Amino acid sequence: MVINMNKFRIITAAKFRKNKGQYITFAIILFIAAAMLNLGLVIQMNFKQSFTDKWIEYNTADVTTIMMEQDYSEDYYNKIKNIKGIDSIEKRDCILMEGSYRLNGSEFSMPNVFYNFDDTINISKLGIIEQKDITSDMPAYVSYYLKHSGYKIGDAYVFNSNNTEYRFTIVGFVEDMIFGTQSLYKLGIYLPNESFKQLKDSIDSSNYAVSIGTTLTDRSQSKEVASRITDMLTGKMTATYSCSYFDYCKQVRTMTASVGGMIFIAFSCIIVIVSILISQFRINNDIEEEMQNMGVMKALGYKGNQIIFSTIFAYVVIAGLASMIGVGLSYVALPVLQQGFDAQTGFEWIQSFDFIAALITVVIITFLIILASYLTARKIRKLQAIVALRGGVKTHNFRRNYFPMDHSRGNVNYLLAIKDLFANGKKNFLLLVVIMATAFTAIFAGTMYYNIAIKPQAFIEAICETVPSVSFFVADSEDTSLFDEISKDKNVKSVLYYDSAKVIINQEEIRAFITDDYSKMDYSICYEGREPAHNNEIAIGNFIADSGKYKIGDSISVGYGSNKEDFIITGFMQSVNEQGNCIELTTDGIMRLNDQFKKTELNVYLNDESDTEGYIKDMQSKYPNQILSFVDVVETTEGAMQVFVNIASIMAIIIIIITILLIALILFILIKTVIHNNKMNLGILKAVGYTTRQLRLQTSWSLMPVVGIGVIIGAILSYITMNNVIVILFRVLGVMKLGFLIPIPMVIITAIVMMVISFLIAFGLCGRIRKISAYELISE
Amino acid sequence: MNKVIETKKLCKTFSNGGIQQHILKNVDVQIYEGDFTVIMGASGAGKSTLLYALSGMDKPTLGEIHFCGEEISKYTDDKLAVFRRKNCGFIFQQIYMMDKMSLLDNVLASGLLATKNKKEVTKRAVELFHKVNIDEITYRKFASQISGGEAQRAGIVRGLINKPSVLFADEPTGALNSSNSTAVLDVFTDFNKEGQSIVMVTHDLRCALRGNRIIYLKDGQVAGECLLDPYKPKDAARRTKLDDFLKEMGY
Repeated sequence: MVINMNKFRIITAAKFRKNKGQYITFAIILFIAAAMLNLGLVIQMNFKQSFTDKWIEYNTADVTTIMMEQDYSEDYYNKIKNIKGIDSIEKRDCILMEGSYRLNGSEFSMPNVFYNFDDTINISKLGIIEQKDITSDMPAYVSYYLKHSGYKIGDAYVFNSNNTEYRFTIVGFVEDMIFGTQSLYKLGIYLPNESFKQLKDSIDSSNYAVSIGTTLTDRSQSKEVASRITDMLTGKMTATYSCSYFDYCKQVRTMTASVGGMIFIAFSCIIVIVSILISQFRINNDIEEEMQNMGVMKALGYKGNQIIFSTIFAYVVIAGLASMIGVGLSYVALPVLQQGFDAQTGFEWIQSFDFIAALITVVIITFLIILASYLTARKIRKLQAIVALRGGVKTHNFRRNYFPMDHSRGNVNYLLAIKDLFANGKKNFLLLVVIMATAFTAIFAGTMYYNIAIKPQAFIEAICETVPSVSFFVADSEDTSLFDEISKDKNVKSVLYYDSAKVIINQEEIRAFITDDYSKMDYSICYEGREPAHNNEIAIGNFIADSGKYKIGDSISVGYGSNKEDFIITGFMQSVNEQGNCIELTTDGIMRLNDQFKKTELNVYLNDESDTEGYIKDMQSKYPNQILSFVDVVETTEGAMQVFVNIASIMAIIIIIITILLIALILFILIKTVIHNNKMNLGILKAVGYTTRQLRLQTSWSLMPVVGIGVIIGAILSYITMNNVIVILFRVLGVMKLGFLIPIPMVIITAIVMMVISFLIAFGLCGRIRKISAYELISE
Repeated sequence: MNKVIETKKLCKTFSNGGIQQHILKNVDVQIYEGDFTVIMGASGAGKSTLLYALSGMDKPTLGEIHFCGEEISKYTDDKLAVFRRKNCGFIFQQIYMMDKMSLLDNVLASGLLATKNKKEVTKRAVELFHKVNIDEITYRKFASQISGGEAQRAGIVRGLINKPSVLFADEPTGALNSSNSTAVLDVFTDFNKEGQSIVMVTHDLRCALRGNRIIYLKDGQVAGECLLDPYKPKDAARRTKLDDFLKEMGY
């Protein structure tokens, strides 16, 4: 095929001048698709690598073992040092304390691990994001994560442990690749020498701990090395210990970004499909409009491929340019996302231009548009010059006269709108697909917002194991006076001990949730099977189930110290906090492994949660010795939910804006095409006495049945599949079952609002009918 | 006879690339009830411009148009649309049938604007179709499936469906062959005999012969008028009178 580019440039420029509004709209849709695809790819391709790069930059320990000083001996250090694959090893003193601190306005319960900021170290260095010289008794560097939770330099960081308040002044924010967020159930705090010593002197020595950081010759072996260390320590520790490794840290710290990236890619796919349909619709329309010109070109000797090329050239150029501009635009939006992810992941993600992601975005979008355009336009090759000159095969295309006016009911405006509807199959198909997709995404956004911001119970159930009103940490569970009084209270729905302990499964330390009777829990977290009821039963998380390919009914070996017992799997449980790496046992079950097990955490479920604080104070005053500490779960949950509410709100707003924009852009293209193609008909109707308003209403109404059907199908599809779709998107977070409420009024309101918005946009865009004059029919 | 339309100093100017073109210059014409008025003139004389100004399809630049006693030149577009549906019928050279509807639906789309009584409108449409020799099979077809002559006769039905005060026709035979032209002109003549006022623009002498009043435009002005007896086929005296008039006008 010999192509004279100048000739086609002239033809393309002429086409662009004629239809510039539609080409620009097509380009805008492609900008959005390209921007979202590029953002998704940049996140998916770089975020995890960025984490690894920082890990390497700070020479972060690939395996970090923390044990209490009382359990530590040099022997462990030497044994760890001699494990195959260890490259370097470093021991540090630290302090590990149970307690709580303020986060997003609520008290949050989690151990803190305090390090000496001034230690000379080679492994697990910190990256200083921000610091200031502030004179204070107890200066502290805290995680960058806390900066995004509302803390500022100079603020007090207050840690409450065993009814004692430890107050620090924040002098800087740091990146810690291990304990920089709450993902590992320990938040790192870094105290300059003096304040570290001061804290150490003021606390019980049972909180003294040792941290052994090791780097590996092969980082991918981190899980195996951590397992060997855990094996070595199992049964020899008298207090808590932990072993954190690279793979797990990376997974939990990059998870939110992975989900975000997937959502961007999923949405960009929808918009790319819409773009493909638009290009096909427009090319079909171009072929109809340009039929006679094509006949002339054929008659002059142009080959079929040359005419195809001239037809699709504009779309190819726009796809290439728009995807490049979209890639550029995505970098304008990137800083906002970076901030959002930083808040979740606790490290500063600095992203420069990613050529590969940009190339993939441009190539994928351009290629798909070229392919779709070519497949649509290839029928031109079969077109004979003489047929094209006569205006194509239209004159022999005997169509059906839908809704003959003499036999159909309804007024003339309605009938004309219905006729228009049935005469435009391709337009209707495009509109149907777009409206279905946008209805689905709008209801997705609405469902997320409703279940996170308005009625978050299902969301909380999805991400939490249990949500009582208050948790009391009791001194002695064998003293039943507290339990009995709480049980008798009419405002108490139920009360039960719900504890957790670390056990070993497949050489890995995992969390076990323990209670006497799971039927008393507020909800079941098993997505398959049931919770354990007897001492030989167990429910396992999806991560363990998947990695060990376990089935319900299989038996699994659980270790604690030197004990090992087999349990029968009765169910699979979901856990977002543990990413499915956890189990459920009954109290009798854990007693088989550890006969010294003591119940400590008493969960109380209140009927009326409006005065939880008063209830806690009342119980504390009655049982000052029995209640060691407490967590106001209602308040904590509200605080923790705030982050999700913010994310859900931002996401809902973005999706709603994109939904309205997409509807407006598609309607713009369709209405412009419809008006252009029907210019003569509209002129005739004006000549015979139809007013502009009647014609605008007719054209707008002709779109409404398709919009209505699209909205209804989209709404039904979303109603049926929404929970499964969200599970697929959030499976990486450990969500396996979801009972999100999809309130029918919300679905109906969304559908009505979409229809009203579509009608208003359509009616507004039909304003150009005003410019069509009956007088244009005159040919002097 | 009653005046249906009267213009006073009617002017129409077009702007083309900043250059003003005066198409109609102070035109004073009267259209009478029951007349078959023919507007003739050379290309560019302003015939169609005058026709569309008289019918309220286009607004004049200056001057007045009185239509059935109403001054329509200052009407808004929508008011003109409502006025047209009640008072005017149109027949175009290119026929302009809506391509996605049958001929009957084309007619009803116009007829149902003026009255909501679908039965009555359909009955009248069918009667008119029969009058112009279009049977049911044909009027249920699309315009693209029938001959130009049939389409134009269907156009006449559409023009007459609302019983307009005046039927305006712009070169109605311009796109037709000789036999189709004759059939269409016969329809015009028949309706005029029944009292329908018609204003027709044409170049064609055969068309002009059908009229009883000929207005000749030259350079946007009325150059002359000729009154003829009602049309009779093969009326030599009538033909001579028209020939002389047109010769005088420089036709």
